[in-house]
Amino acid sequence: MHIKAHEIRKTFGERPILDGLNLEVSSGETVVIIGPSGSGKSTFLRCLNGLQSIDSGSIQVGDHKLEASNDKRFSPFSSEIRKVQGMIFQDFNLFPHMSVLGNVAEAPAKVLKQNQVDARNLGMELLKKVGLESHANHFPSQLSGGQKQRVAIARALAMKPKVLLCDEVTSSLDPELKHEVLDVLEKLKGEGMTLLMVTHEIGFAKKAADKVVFFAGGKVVEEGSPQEILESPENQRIRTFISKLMS
Amino acid sequence: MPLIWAADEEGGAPYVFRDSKLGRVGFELDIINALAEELKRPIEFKQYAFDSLIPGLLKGDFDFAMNGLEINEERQEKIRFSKPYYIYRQQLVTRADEKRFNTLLGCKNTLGAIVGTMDGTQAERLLNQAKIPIRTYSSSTEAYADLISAGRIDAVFLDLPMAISYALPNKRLQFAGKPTARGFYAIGFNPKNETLAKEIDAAIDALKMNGKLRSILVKWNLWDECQEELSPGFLFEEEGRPDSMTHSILEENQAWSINRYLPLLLQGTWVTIQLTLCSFALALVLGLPLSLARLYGTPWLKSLALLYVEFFRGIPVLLLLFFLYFGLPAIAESSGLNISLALSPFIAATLGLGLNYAAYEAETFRAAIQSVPQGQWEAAASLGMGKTLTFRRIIFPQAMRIALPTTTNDLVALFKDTSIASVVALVELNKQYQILAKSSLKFVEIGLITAVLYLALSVPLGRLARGLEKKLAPERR
Repeated sequence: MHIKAHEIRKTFGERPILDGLNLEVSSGETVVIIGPSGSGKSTFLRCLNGLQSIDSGSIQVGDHKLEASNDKRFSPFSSEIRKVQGMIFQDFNLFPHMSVLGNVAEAPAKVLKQNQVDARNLGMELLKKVGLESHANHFPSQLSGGQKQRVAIARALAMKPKVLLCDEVTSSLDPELKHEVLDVLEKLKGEGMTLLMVTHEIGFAKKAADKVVFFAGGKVVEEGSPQEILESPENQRIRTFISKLMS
Repeated sequence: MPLIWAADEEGGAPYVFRDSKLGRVGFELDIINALAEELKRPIEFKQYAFDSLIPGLLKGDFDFAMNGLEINEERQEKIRFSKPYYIYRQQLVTRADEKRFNTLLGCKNTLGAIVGTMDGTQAERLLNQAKIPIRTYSSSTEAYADLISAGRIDAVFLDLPMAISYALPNKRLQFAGKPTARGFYAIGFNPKNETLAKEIDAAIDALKMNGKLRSILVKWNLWDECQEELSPGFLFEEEGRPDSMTHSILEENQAWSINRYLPLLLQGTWVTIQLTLCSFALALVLGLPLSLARLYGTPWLKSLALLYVEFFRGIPVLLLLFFLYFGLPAIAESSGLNISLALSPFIAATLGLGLNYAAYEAETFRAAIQSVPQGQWEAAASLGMGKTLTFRRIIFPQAMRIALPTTTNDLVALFKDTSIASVVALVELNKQYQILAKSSLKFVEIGLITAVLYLALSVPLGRLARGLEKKLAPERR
């Protein structure tokens, strides 16, 4: 699904976080967003999903449009745009009072009004996909970080999104657990999912990304293929940033 | 329809009190029975705190009050008194070994001497007028007990009947000087109830004429030359003085065994349990919408909910109970409303405690809802869940688990706070204890049993809470 973000501005108080940002993502593309902390990467994903309002500019995801809003009582529940987008968070945000299967089946049952059996069958199918069907009746507190993040992916997939927004999904994980999450994402890429990832996993970006985007000061400073951006960056800031990541 | 008569059993002997063998007894009860016979109408007893008798009468909670009410001007302005049925005098009582004084004047001149008396009595008024240092009690038993054992006071100045009941048979106490300051006991009516007052006046006259009043007073050792004044010129049949009740009162102490008072305490416990459950249910049902209004309401609703919380947390429950019980009917009356706002003791206590605790529960819920991480809202939103659905399915269940320990603590606190309901004439466990302890003088023994009853409920409740807390512990990410 095609995504187009045009001239997006967003300020928190006096501080501009997104400062006239433009980005286009083609359907089925895997885009990795990198950049120093505070450069607006996470905010961009949250705006894209309607969790946060934008002050000006416009966002288009497929046929869904999101305009700027100055409403002070902005509610993250107002947007239709997330019907085609799923989101995975750094801290998983699983529902602690529900079983693993309950987490996955909740939205299909309550939002799409599927009956309980269908929702649970779908849930089991997706848990199988992330390799956790044996943990269906566990509670989130009984899982490792990597397992939690895979449940979160299954939960997002249950709403049949065309786009997955991944906000530093491996940052809270121990190094040896990161691959189990990244493997699942790579599998999804293979199935044609459009992926937008904020991450510091340079290795993953080199292997799986179609495009790498470097953010700084709320703007896209440079974008290109993984080779162009990661291996021989022309921009001095990118070089410094990447050498710091590698060290 | 039976007539309803109100008195306070806690006031003690010989008016109306609890006897271990005979149940409710007293010279006033005997007079009531004679009146019932005369009127050919049953009369039912209603337990009522002495302090509240006059407000209760004006509120229409019962037909009349008879509980050693002394006629005085202040009361006459509010209520209609019957013809007197007893002429009282005040008696000063000291310890048997008291050498320093034997009159009120002597007492006043004795440095540091304190005189015990009862709240709201004529005796208290007299002592205050004489500027004698006093300590007041809510029952005569307590005053005499303090004089004998604790020595916190040096004398007791109270109506002669109490002195006769408690002090006369006790070898460690003595009557100091002659009784003084006579006055009348009479039955109190609501001034609107003139018809009933006239009927009872006639019945009292009849009891004076036929000698029944005299035999009752004689039986209770209360007859003296003063009483002749009540009905001069009438002949009384002479009868042998029956066994005076006075001695049995002292023997009471032994007679009140556990199988006599435990059933009464259990009755009180049951009332306490019902009151706790009903008022807590009310607190929860009100608390949740209040917390929602504070969190998600329009600005108007928010400030209304805040006002509620601040108001009900800021006023004492005692005040609230008095207002609900005595104040509401007065408002209904003065505003000419055609509805009765006279709540039953149980309803008034449930409302008072429920409204008060709702303020605390609202704050508990609010804090619990706010402490559910923001990420939970966002995760639900990102799945396309609406605000209401998110609250109902995701936030609320987690908030309740967070609130559970605090809420259970509040339940235990409420359980103990129910004791305050005795001010609106509800005989729950604590009130039952007071009545029994003052009838039997077994403050310690019955007190311990009462404490055990409270603990038997509050401790398991606390355990249950901890158990639930473990079972439902939020399965953190």
